[in-house]
Amino acid sequence: MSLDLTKLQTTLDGETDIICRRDFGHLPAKVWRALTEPALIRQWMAVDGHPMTRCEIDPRPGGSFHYEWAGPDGTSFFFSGPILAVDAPRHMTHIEHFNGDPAMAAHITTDLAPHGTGSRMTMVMRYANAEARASAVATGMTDGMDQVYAKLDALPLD
Amino acid sequence: MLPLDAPFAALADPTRRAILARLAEGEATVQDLARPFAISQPAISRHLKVLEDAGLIETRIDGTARPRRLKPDTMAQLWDWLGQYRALWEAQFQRLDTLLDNLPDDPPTERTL
Repeated sequence: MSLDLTKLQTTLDGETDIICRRDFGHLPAKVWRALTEPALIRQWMAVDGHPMTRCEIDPRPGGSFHYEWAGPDGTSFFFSGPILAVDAPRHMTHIEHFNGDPAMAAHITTDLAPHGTGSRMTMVMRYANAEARASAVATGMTDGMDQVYAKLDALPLD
Repeated sequence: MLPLDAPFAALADPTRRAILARLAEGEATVQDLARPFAISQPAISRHLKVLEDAGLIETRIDGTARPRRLKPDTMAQLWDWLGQYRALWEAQFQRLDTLLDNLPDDPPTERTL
């Protein structure tokens, strides 16, 4: 069975991992630029209604990144952490903290492989244990829920 | 009828979502949970009962304390059902597709190889 990865596929793997896969219609060198150049990142990484207020990345071993969005009511949320390994344009390993919380750390490997005339991205997000993964899922869910529920309003929930 | 109707209904309330977000940081008692919210402990307890009946959280018995915590199994199931949420992420990648389509093949600046 061949997967349709023209849309994001997200799966839970084992106890600790979340694996995201997605195909792009352009070769890794170009996708890499869009994933690592702040001027380009800002153009696609906005969350509905939340433009990025800070977008910094130094994509080399020993570098770091900081992506921040302004939320409603003057709040903000951000992902940040160290870059551990870089092999442009095909691999990066980094640690991601949510809102600076060291307890909420994901070890993330991103690989870009040539696939046909484009690229296949495989991102493995690894958490310390099953509970940490569940927490990350819950946090991501709750942060996105207001938007989700705007779309789920049509469903009979009662 | 979706088997996960109860969890989804439980999540439809913003206070219950905030409670889940708090529990995502670690287990907490009713008193811990009531503090940041402008509602009474009995009201928090009612929300906790809805969340527990929906299978989203569980109660641990620790002497006289009854801390609540997330149930990882249910969260995993919810993850599978939350295609709507992932659609938000996918929307970002569709913007990335458009950006890539409009980006010249040869970058004007130096490559870092």
